[in-house]
Amino acid sequence: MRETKDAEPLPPSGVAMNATAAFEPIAETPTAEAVRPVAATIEAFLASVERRAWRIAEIALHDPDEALDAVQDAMLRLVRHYSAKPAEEWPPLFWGILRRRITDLQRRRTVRNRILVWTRRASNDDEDLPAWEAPDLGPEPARALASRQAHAAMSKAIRALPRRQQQAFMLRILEGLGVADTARAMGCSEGSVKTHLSRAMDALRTQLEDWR
Amino acid sequence: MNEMPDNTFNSLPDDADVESRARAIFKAACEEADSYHTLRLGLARRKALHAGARHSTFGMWASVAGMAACCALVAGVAWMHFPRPTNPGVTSASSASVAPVRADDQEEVPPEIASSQMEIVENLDFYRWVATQPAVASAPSRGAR
Repeated sequence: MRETKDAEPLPPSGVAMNATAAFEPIAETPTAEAVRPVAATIEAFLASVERRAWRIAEIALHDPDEALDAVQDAMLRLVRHYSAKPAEEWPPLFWGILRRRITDLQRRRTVRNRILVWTRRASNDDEDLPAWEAPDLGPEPARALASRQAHAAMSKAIRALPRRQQQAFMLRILEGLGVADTARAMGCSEGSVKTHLSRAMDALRTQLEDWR
Repeated sequence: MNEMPDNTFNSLPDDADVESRARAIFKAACEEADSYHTLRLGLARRKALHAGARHSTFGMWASVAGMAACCALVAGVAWMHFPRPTNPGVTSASSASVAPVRADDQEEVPPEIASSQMEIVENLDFYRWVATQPAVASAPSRGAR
């Protein structure tokens, strides 16, 4: 019988973590990425990934238009700089670009909010104004509403996580990247990905009931 | 024989549940994206592809232009630094029209010195003659001491 503890990476030095979080194995479930076929052209790849990328950017940024800008920028950079790369390398490259773009926008927003608070012109426009939503034209409005509420609850729970845990959870669980591709997209080691994901799962497990 | 840690059995189902639930919600959210943002995503993709194609064409021409500019620069530097062959016909014609002034003389007498000591220059023949007579001039002074 294979011992799972041997397969676990050592925790990074200098990082304080409890024993449960450090050595709790994350199941190596077959991810959605493993099932997805490799796109033949960059256009097909972008078409297949654009909605998920937009949703993930929206979860992180809490702004659909900013998320759209981030996705468009990531697409542009991928096409300009990496379209000649093999198709197998596009997913980690694309998600890495998008991750950096999202981080840039989050930092810019933080600075902007600080300046606004400092100049006493801070307003809670983003929070108070009702967000425009497209009218629901679907055949099952009740189901769509429940799905939207569940998505909103999950997004809120993910946004409450630290940034690296957010990234690990969204890339690994929502997008279904493998550990190696997630590590490449996040610019860290595979052990760090597992650690961040383990902590994210610990935090989100308690909120699972809100998603139902 | 218990090779697995005890907490594995308690945590794995929860992790799997969180994963499956999160994926289901995310998949539904992606499928139910509104038409406005779906359309804008398609436009963004086409714009990115178009800009990428334009960028690659521009990059190709930019590299060609850069190589041409480098070649021109190298040729210019080589033309300036390599010794050029003198044209004997031009040299003889110009030397015939110019007064026979030696280059050595121009270097020996700078303009400021020439203006202040023009008298010495004019009597240069006399001073050259004096220079040939040092033994005759210094002989009486040694004898007087």
